[in-house]
Amino acid sequence: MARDPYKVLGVDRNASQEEIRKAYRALAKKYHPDLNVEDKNAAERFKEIAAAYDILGDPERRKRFDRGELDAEGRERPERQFYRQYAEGAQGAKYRRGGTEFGEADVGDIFSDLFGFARRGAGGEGPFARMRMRGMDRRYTLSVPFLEAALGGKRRISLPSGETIDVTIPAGIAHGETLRLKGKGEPGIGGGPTGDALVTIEVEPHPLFERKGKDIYSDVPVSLDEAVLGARIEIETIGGAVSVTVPPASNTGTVLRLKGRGIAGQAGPPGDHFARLKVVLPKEPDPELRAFLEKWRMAHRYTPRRE
Amino acid sequence: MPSEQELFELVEGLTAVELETCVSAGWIVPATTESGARQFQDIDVARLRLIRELRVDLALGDEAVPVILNLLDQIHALRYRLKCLSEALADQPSDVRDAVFTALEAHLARGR
Repeated sequence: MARDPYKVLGVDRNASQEEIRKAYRALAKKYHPDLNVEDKNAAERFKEIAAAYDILGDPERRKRFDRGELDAEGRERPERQFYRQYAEGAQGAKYRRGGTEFGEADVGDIFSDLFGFARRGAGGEGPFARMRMRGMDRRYTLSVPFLEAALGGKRRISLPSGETIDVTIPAGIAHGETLRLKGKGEPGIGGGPTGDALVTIEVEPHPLFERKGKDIYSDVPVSLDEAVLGARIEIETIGGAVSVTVPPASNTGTVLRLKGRGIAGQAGPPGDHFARLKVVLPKEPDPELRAFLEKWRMAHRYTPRRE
Repeated sequence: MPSEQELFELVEGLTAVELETCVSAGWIVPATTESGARQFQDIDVARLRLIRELRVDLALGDEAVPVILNLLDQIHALRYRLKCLSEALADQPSDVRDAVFTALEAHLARGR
């Protein structure tokens, strides 16, 4: 089993991200196997340092480790099980001992806890209520357009019962997430509470935008002159058009980062929009361009392919 | 299935002395493998954590621990039997359930 990553990096549990980064760099420099060629244990030690930084260097993973959700090797640790969860299962048999006789007078109390029956007063009010149980949950799938999922919205869905309900789509909801609508499921038995409706959201793809986590990606075509000379262009984001400067000599594949123009509405800062430039020639062949290039290539031949 | 070594990783603060105390006092009952080694289960890990919490975090005292564990084991045995009973009851047709509930109510009324 791995050592505690804080001990490995030699930092305090309250260390800042900057301190952790510094500590890692200092250790990495000191113990890098290529900088310690004579040391045959260097690789093992370096792996341990790198693994520790893998957990602590990322603030999100560090938080999860501190909370106990990740172990010292960065693996998911299931939620802690309390003793009671095992006690009634198969493994609990060896500990279930002690007297279990109980008298009639206790039975009512015990059942009222288990079944949730209402206690009747002395004098009785007619037949005992039936078994009282919470109704089952109903599951639905709702297809939502990309922008509505990104920016939030409201949808009306009709249930098999004929009832229509308004569902609020929270801004930034991701494909596959489920909304729980309390009390919109199957009715309860014997007066028990109604179950919930579980609505799984399917986000439809968008012709322009692609979502990765909280960031949005899009391909942005630019003209030859815009790419070579630079230009000010409008780029479509989920929040509308944004005016952006294309630097001169921007090649296809250049990525312009528009900070904060990604998915907002969830915990943490909004994501970014990444615009991938694509240089596009004019639609119609241009005789002047052709003539110019025939001359130009004589002195400026270059090949983008690695032969 | 945790190995004996893994117990010390899984139960924070557990010492070898503590583990021996728990086993010899019968608070933890590991199984024995063919070779005679002790085999611990997930429930033993959870129970060790509970014992630690009772003794250390809640400072209930070493003398209280066996008393508490005994009461807890009785409760869980009870709950288990009732769980079986209520599952058997839930499988019954509704007229059988109704008959049981009517009889239950009669008992309740008498018991008060």
